[in-house]
Amino acid sequence: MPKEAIDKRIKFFTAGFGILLAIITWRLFDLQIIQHRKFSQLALRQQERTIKIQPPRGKIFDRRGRPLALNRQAASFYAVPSEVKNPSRAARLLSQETGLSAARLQRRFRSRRAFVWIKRKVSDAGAKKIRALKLTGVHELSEPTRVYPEGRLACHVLGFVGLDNQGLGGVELQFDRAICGRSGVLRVAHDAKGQRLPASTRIFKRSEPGQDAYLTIDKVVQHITERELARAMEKSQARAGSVVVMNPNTGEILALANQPNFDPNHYNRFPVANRRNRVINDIYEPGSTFKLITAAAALEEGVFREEDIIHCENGRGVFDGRVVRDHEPQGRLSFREVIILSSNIGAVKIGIRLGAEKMVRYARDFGFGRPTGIELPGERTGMLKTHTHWKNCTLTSVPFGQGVAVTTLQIAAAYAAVANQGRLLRPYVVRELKRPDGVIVRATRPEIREQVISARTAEKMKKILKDVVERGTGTWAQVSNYAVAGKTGTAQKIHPRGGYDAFRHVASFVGFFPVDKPKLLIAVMIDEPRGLQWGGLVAGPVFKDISRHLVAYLGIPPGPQKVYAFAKAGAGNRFDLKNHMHLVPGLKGLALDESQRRLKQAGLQAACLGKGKIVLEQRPAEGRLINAASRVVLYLADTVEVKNPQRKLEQVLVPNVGGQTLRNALQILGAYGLQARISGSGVVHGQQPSPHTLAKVGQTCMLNCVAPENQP
Amino acid sequence: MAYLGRNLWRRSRRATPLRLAREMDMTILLPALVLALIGVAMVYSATFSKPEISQLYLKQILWISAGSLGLIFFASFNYQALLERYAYPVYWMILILLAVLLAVGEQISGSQRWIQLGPIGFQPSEFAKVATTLVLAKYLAGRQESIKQWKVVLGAFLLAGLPMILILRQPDLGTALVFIPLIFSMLFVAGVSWKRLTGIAMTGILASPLIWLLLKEYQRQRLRVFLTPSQDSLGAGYNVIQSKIAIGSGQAWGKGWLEGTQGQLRFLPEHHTDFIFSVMAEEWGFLGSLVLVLLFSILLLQALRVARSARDMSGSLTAVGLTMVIFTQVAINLGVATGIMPVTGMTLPFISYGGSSLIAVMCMLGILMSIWSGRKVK
Repeated sequence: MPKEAIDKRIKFFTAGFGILLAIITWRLFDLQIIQHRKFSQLALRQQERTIKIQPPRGKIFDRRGRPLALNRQAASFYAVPSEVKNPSRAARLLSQETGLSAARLQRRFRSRRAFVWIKRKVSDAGAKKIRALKLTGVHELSEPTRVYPEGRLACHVLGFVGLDNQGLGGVELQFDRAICGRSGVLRVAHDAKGQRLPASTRIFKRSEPGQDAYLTIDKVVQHITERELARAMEKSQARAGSVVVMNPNTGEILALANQPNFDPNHYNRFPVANRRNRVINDIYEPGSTFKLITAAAALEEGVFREEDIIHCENGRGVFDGRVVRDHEPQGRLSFREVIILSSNIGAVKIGIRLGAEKMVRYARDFGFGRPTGIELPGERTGMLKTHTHWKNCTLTSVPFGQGVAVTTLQIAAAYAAVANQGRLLRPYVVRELKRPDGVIVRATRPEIREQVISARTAEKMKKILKDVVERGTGTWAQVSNYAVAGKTGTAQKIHPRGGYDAFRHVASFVGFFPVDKPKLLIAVMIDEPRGLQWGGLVAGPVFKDISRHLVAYLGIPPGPQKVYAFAKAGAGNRFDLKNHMHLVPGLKGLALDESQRRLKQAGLQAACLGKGKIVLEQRPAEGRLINAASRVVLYLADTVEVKNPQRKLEQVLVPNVGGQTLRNALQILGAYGLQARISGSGVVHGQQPSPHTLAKVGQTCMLNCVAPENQP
Repeated sequence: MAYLGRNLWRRSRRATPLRLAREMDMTILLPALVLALIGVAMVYSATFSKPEISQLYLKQILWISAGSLGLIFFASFNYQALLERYAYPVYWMILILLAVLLAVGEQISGSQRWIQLGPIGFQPSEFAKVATTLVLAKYLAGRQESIKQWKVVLGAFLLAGLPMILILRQPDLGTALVFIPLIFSMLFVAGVSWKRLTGIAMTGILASPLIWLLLKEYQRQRLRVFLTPSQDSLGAGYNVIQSKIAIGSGQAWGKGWLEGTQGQLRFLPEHHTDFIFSVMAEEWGFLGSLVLVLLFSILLLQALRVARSARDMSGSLTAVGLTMVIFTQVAINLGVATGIMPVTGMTLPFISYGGSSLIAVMCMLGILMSIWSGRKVK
């Protein structure tokens, strides 16, 4: 082999070495530079057990320092699987005491992990039982657990916490970081055999206790509010209801209540719907309460003066081919009266003169279509289309509160702006966050978001709203000895199949008092009341009842000038009761006198057919709606068992539908099982057969209708 | 020229320490010394948390000293004389030792590799690599004219195959594997044609299913695990995964000496011997790994220069063989640690703990230096 050839062949090795070493170098680069994150994490996961040390959560107090959320220590049980001697026996015994699945416990005991939970936050009695088992490998540790001493009180403001003390709703969630504190970390390094290394390798991160939250909520105000709301709910059999009580001068929320509600101590026993804070999480079409914005904008812009006359088209106005109706037909009304009597047609006329662009601008200024900024989770902004997206019909619906969607809090804030010289405030629920050592970390100050209307316009609006309660639709909200300003709202809900639903309403009332120097603002929203549906009648009394108690508790001095005589409530009322429908109670099987008592309670009278002391059957059936002038027919008998009852039940007493709107009249006749033939239009003027005469079920009733004007 | 070379050669036989130092190839010696010192540091770190073996680094220093004596001895020894007089006797002696070992050897983790001489364990397989290189060099250099004959090639394979089979029987797959690149590289340099070598290699590969039958079950398992590593992450695949975690978590700059958590916390297996590189890569990061690879590169490329500049064929062959032995060990060890090769028990020269391997590799360097100082000076 010549020397050059050897050289050449050796050079081949040089190249080969170079290539292989380059591959290894690249691989090292790949592992140590490119993929380093992955492997570092793998390494960390292997070496370290981190043990979190949870500090107790900060407490929550009401505005006067009364506790609403506290902590207690609860026992939690865990097992170290390698120490558990007889997993199947231990699992069986524990399963008996705790009700947990034995198979699942056993699987945990047989796992390779160093630590498995058995059951956390066990009750004292349960803990005693588990301790009594004296199982090796089963250990106990004490964990701080949230307790809400007041139960359901203010549940939607407070929220609730999960098993790991994480805030899951309300203030607990919104201020979780502050209230939770910083959990400390105890890192324990361990080697491949799972043994802890000497103390020097432990790294501590100190835990920081959570901050205490002081709310704007007043426990007593909250309690009164919740009690009155619950009462109203029972009376109206509504689907849901909300009330906000607010200081209109600062934006502080004194009480916030929703029905249905829940107990935050056992939040998982309640349906999720109960946890909704409807005041901010639910939106609805407000109806007449929205007329405030239309009117305030018109006054502020000067397109109307208070005494300008508006013709309200006798209850049926046609705008661009769209019909707008009033619940009570009106003729010529002043601008003030349009609001006081809550005429939709009048509001539309005001809106049209104002123009879409200004309508939207003022609505937005009043806080609609944007969050109020309350620091609670999940606040909705509602729906307010910009005027460029409006259809022709929008301007004929928004002025009286259709075609916009709002939250109860937005309505409350908008009315507070009127109460507060036209300044829109940011509502808030947390006054202070305090460290346990007393240092105030954060203090909330009232925050003016905008000057929406001038103080002069606000003053004019206050006077109009005062008249609403004094002699308009809001007389049921009168609080004796206090001058109240407010507005009712009755909005039909949107029908799932489109259009509006004649039978499902949102009844609301917003008001504040005393008018001169408003101290309290209360917004009430009742969703789908049965029977009575009018905002003034359903929500107004709630306002009144809450206010009555609050003036005593808060010591609000009565207004100097205007004092309502409480007995006169409803006296000067132009809003006629005769059109109101009453819910028929269930009377089947009851004694006659008890039935009559219940009917009286419901505002109805009985007409008896047959003899006896027991109500065998009733017509209309339970849950139907009739007017007060009609009688509920009770079929009497001595015993419940009657031979051949059918013949008697065919007879019915004709209801009195005179003066009713056609819609109501048909509804009532239907409830009695009667047919109708209609002549004319408007309001029922005459009927045949006449009221309170006997008729057969299925018989036809002639209704003669006339326009409201021509009513005698 | 020739005279001067001869003159130098003669004088170097009576080497004085000073002359020796001057004639030694520093580009080999320096990287080797640095590597050996890194080795001591790594053995210290790898055994630091295990009290029962934490004194091993002292022994490693002892082995380096002993290895240095061997290095100086072989550097000052005329390699031609070494080949002429001692290649075959040493080779046979080692073969006998290996055979005896199979019969009476002490079992260490499933194989018989050690001869116990008093307190010192002695691993003949480490020296078998050197002896086989020497004997092949002599054999092939003496048959330059007849190198094209099959007979000669087969003879060479026989010389390499005998110790290889004995080592495979211990069983020590890693060390046995080294003989394959060794014999191929030496035949290649000796002038056997490309065609023929490729043919032999192909035959070997085709015959490998037969080798599968010869493998022990645990060796088969290792190969299976290499092919599908995720199959068994706590069994045989555990080593590779832990090694990759250690290396990868070292990142660019490493966790610092004695700070490597994977090694210190005993997640890494055999971390003072076969997986010592992972300890180093974890503690000294990509930078440390790069320095290590660079040191090996300098050493190996310089060793190839020695092969090219050797005065005769036997020198070139010896140098290529020894270089190949070191390179194979480095490549396989790093390949295993980084997970690009199946797990094969293989020490990393200079770094891994182990007297026999350290002394053997330093003797190899001595021989390389002897070849270097006997080169033809141009």
